[in-house]
Amino acid sequence: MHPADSLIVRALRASLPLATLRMSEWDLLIRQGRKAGLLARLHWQWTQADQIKQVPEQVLAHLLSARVIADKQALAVRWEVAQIRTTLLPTGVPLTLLKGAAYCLSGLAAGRGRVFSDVDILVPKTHIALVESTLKMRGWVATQHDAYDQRYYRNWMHEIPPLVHLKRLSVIDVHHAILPETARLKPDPALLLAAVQAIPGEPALFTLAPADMVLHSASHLFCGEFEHGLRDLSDINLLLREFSLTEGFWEGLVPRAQSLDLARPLYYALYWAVQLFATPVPPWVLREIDACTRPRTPVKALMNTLLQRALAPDHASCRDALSAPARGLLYARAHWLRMPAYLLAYHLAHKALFPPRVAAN
Amino acid sequence: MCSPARNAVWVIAPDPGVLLRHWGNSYVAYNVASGDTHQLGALAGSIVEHLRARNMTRFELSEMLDSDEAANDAQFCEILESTLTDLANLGLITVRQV
Amino acid sequence: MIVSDYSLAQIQRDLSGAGLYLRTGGFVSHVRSDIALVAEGIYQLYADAPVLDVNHFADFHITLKRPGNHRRWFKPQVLFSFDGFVPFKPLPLAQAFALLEWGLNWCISTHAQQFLIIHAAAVEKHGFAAILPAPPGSGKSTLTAGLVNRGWRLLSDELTLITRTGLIQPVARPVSLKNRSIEVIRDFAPDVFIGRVVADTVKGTVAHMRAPADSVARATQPARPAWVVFPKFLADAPAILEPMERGHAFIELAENAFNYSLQGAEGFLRLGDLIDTTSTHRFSYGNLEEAVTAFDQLAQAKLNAPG
Repeated sequence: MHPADSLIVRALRASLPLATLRMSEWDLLIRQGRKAGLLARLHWQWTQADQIKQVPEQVLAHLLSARVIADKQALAVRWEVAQIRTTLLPTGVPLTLLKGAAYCLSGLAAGRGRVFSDVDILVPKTHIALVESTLKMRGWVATQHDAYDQRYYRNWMHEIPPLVHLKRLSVIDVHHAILPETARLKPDPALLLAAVQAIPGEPALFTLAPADMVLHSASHLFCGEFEHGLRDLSDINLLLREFSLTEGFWEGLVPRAQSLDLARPLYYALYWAVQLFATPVPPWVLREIDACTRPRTPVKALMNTLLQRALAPDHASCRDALSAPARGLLYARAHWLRMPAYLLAYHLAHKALFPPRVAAN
Repeated sequence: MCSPARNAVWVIAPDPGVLLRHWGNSYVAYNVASGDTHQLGALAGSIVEHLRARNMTRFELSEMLDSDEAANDAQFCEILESTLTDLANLGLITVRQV
Repeated sequence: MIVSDYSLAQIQRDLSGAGLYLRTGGFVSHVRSDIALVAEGIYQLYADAPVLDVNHFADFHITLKRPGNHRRWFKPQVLFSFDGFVPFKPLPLAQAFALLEWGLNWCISTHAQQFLIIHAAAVEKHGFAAILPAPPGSGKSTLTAGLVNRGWRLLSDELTLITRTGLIQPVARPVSLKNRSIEVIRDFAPDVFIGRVVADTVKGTVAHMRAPADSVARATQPARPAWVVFPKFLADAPAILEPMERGHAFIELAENAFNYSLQGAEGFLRLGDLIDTTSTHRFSYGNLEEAVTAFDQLAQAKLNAPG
């Protein structure tokens, strides 16, 4: 089944006739939505569209349960960001929020009904040491103690190893770029940092510029492991819809993608957002991205086959025989994109010879 | 009553604020932003109750709170001051200089 | 139609095939299993539970099966899976029914966050409900089993669900008994049905008592809480009910509520309302008959009270 035809995607695309749904279809919808982490978003969407009355009580209970969790996490993210801001203020380093925390603090639709875990921030590489030591002085500790993992992060990755706060148990990921230095695509963090925007009403907090937020999400999704594929694509759909109301957004999107070496991820993001969520991308923008980065036909066909599976809800009703191998191939691709072959061989060999000890939880 | 520093105003934690319930002299307070719940005694609870209604200086609080039970003024003020500090450390109230 | 309207063979066939849709209070569980102990346990202990059509909406889709590896045959084990997700490590096959019960409790405490969920038993008489929170091993389940065999309605023995309007949503499932309390209840209520006794679980020796038919039949009727009683079993102690300071009761109840902190401000308010509208007590007892009498007196006094 193409993911566009799954019940959860049809519901999010608002092409599901709620009044005539059978109970067995409501049942499957909830199960797909739960696996995809999209129930709270669905509740929010239907509440906004004044359709919540059409949901049977027994079904609504599950949306409410998901909403309780999402709402609490949103509060927790705000509190966590406030603590981080207070901690880092004396350093004078500008604090740029990424992903979920950025959506939430900016009041964007992509932050409503969303599940959050870690807080991700972006700081200039020159200030990484200062930020890390300041956080460690105020209660954050390292999570990766293995010397190899420390080197992996510091030398090759685009972030320092995650830090966890001892008392609150919250995790912060401090990035100095949005893709690893060893990666094949090279979006220049200086360009991103030069374009950050202050969050109205939130002193000393910044987010990436709108186009950059979309591009970051696209690179994270289409260069990554697709663990939350459908949800991440749904984020992109909401971001595009909201930013399309901004003057000049569409005009600047593809040129910006090219300047950040992120044209290919944007290509996939736009193509799939339109396919699954009917995102109103102007046709000329699609022609523009197509002209500058359309993959060669064999690659395009292969990626289509793989992405069809990886973007589907990870529920039995949406899987077929190719789903597991497709995810496996994309997982390998993510590693290949992150580092050149020789480094990848070294990294995988190390992991095989010295498998990570299971963390005591 | 309790001495100067009248230009320091005590306020309840900002929006989303603090919820409060009490039964007799026993209070429970909820800091909505942090998600923490606190059990408070009579004095601390009353302070939070008053500050939820409006901002007050320490002087105004001492007038509202001190009963006439032959309380030693100095002692009461000391207790009031330390309770205010404790509540501030819990994040339930803060002080503003005006 | 309820489970006992079918034969064991039919129940077994349904469980092995498309699955069985069971109503348990406010939840519908779709259970699939080809394990005989599971069919036996459901047939005996859910005898009065309504069976629903296979195209119904189910809150929980559950499978109990043997693992695919060598543990299928060697020291056989059983796995609990929730719509493809396995939350627990496998257990010995002999504990398959207990795993179903623990699994259903996990389903509720993980996926029913619209309720404030308190780790407590709840029973009702004369329209008034008592909430009995207690950490494991304090005799809560024995007391609950005793009360429901003397005319109290079983609302729940493990998870008390408080709705937005402050009512208790019944769950009315088998009452789990441990170690000594199995014999205590057999003596106390000889007519009661207690299922297969299973030794060596993480909770000791475990068995389940069938919920009274009336409690199951009324499982869709919420109840209004009147008392919060923290019980404690003390061998040979007389039954003593003492008032408990409400601020302390609030804090102890919060500590016994699985999702209090997840509920946020709503949880604080709902718990506050609960304390506002109930009387709060500590209760110690050493003899089950005396304990039941004390509760009966409490219910009678409330019934007789003016207004």
